[in-house]
Amino acid sequence: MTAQHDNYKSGLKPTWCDGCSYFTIMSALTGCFSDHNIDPCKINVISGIGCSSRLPFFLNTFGMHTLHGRPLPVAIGARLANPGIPVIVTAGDGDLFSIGANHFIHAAHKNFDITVICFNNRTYAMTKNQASPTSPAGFTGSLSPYGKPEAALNTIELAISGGATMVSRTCAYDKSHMKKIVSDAFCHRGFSFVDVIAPCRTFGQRQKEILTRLEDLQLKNHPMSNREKALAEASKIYESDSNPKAPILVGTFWKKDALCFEEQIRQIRNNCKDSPKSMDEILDKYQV
Amino acid sequence: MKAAGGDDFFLRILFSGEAGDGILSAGETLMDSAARLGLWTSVHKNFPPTIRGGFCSALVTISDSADAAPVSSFANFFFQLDKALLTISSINGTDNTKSFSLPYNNCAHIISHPPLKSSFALGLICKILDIPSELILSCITQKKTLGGENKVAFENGQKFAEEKFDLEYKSIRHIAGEKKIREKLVILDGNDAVALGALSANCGFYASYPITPATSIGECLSRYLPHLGGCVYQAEDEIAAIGAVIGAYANGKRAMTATSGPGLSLMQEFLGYCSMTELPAVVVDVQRVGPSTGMPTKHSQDDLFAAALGGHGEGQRIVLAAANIEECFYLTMEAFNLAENYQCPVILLSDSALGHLRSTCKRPDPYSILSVEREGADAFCDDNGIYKRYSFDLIRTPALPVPGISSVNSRITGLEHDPYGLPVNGAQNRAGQQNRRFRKMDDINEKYNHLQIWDTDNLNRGEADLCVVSWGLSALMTRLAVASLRRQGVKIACLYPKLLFPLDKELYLALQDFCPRVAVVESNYTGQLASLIRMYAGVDTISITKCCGDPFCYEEIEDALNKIFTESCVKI
Ligand SMILES: Cc1ncc(C[n+]2csc(CCOP(=O)(O)OP(=O)(O)O)c2C)c(N)n1
Ligand code: SF4
Repeated sequence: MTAQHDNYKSGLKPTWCDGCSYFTIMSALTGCFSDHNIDPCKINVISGIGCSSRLPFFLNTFGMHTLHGRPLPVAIGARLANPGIPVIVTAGDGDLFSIGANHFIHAAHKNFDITVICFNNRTYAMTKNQASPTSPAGFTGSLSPYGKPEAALNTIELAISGGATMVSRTCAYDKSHMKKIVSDAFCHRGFSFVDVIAPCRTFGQRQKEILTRLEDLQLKNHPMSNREKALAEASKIYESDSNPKAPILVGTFWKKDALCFEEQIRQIRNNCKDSPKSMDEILDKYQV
Repeated sequence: MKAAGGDDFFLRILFSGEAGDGILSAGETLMDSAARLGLWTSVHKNFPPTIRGGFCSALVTISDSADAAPVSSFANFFFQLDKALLTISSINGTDNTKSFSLPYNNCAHIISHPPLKSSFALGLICKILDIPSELILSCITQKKTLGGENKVAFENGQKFAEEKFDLEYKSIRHIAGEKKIREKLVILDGNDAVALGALSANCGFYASYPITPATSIGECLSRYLPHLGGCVYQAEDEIAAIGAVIGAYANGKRAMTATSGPGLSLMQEFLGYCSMTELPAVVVDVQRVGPSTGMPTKHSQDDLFAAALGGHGEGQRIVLAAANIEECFYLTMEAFNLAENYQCPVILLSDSALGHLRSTCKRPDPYSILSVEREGADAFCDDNGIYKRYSFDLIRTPALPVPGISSVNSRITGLEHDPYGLPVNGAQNRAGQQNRRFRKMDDINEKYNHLQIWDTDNLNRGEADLCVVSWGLSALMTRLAVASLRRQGVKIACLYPKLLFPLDKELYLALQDFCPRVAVVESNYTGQLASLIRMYAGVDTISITKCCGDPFCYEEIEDALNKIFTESCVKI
């Protein structure tokens, strides 16, 4: 099993700090690839810019390290041009929810068949610790020495209301849970979003105590296809953000079966049959 | 006043008024009718950025020659629909102009329904020029369902012409009969031509965000591309549009986006990414007056700097510019091949006036330029089967492997990378990679010199009184001004580059050999091509510029070229 696992690694030594939680996210992904027996030449891993976005270099699959905030547009082009190839987007919370938030909403809303994995360390790590949209109120970063004014953005709520058809949360410290969630998201047809709680070793504390606060929605029999209940659970994240004693919800909040964008455009195209099908026929339309 | 090109027959009819008066559709209808009679014809549109209100005009040119200027400061018939005024200038060029007020009240509905004014004017002109009324009526019907009021207004116009005009005008029906064009003609505007060129070049993916004056490129593609196996995608902004184009190219589809200045600004970071990663992309910039929102429907050539030099860092880019509708078609085809050959972004410049210039033109040949096919990525692996796309010794960057097709894979990054594409910070590698990326562009001017149009009038070196350079739509008008000056005996050597950047130093040095006085005609304030010529070729130039939002008329260029014998720059 492990040997197979390694088949998905490029051999390049990750440029992450020792103890960075990103290592385990990478393992969850390679595990998922090996479980599904993915051909490394038949998968696209597309990232933005940030510590997290370096991931494609450490994998042996097709990879694109794009621009800060822009992995989703590139992923969409890849999906539309090459619909047989699955696309995974891996990026940081700053990438997906600050500079790239616009793209996130539209990709979710259109329900592209893309798996988005957010390496949520609640800071801009690569630029050395500034507040990110997911940092809690009061966060002291290099540009907010007296504390961040606003509360954390609730990524789960945003993803559900944005239109994602699968929305989950997991924690990099809980390897088996993470692996299951990543694998479920990968298998989901449509836009799946996994928010991975992934503390930064260097600019945060090692927050192992998080493990004790995790509460798995699936163990509470949360009905994940009920939108109201999904949003109700998602809103509890505000509480766990401000109260260090409150449980941190993980698991799949929301899942819905729906045609993805790629399927929709195929259907629409099939609806209209009388359009010209060769250049000559098209040019005839412009004949005097 | 004569059309450039000697004794050809030509007529110009200008409709103007408030947007909503039916100005543009009157122009198109008249143009379509003349085309069906078998004449060369065009309509140059000038419209405001609003849906209702604002000044609007349509200049229809009808000629028996393909060379008639589509833009001119002169019209034989000038319908001011908002002022109910018709001014007729003598067709013989004598200055006896006559004005007539248009009695719309003959047609009760006109007051309540302004677009009927244009039907009245069409009836009038159709009678004067002896265009079969069925022809005009059928052209109107093609566009909209012809209400009874339209027909009444049209007939009232005809009646008015019959009663009030005893002017002698050549019957254009008669002229068409004498000089029937034998070639197959199509009616296209510049934006249609770009879209059709892209389809002919096997473009399989188009992404864009709506922006005047580029939107209609996507409108045309969205009608046809899905049925040729491709895909059209409306993105959430221009960053997403170019991002999707890049994703599509990396996944084996030729891809394009079209935009205007504001969109080009947003795309700059991704264009740099294309240069760095050596990914092809085709970007069409239908320029409009900038900066900022500027004048969104108005003609301009002020994005050349942004296209050639925009964005941070130093990247490789190819900039093309189309001067007429046929070039919009063929240069789009060339753009895809250039992007493939040089694995870098290609920006094709058009502009608002050219994009919306509707004209008869020769039916373009979609098979005339073969799509270049690149060798498979597998051929560039090292002994261990690892893809080595960025070897220092590769002059031509290999194409990227395609997921699902190729048996090797790759990682693409905008970080500086080693021969395998992996990020490295080393000084020597950086210098070597940047050198390789620039060196690969070295042969472009030699290989693509068919994109540089010389017109030296059989002069020998040193024999010219003047050299003239122009690009884009201005080049079309410059040709006519030059023809007129040559008839007056001025010796002129001209160069009309379609490949603007990388700038071909030798080309401009060779031009200068004809005469050191080099004028550059372009629609902007700062003289952008003139500056690039000075910067890259060291050739001193005299700028002739116009930046008011209207394209040059050839008459203006002729005047300006006369002035530069004494002046160091001319602003119109
Ligand atoms: C347009 C642009 N602006 C700013 C940056 C600088 N930058 C690089 S990474 C980064 C933030 C990374 O944070 P995040 O996405 O959360 O990833 P992390 O490093 O925490 O994994 C920023 C602001 C950039 N690369 N591009
Ligand atoms: S800075 Fe933080 S997020 Fe970045 S590699 Fe180090 S531990 Fe990981």
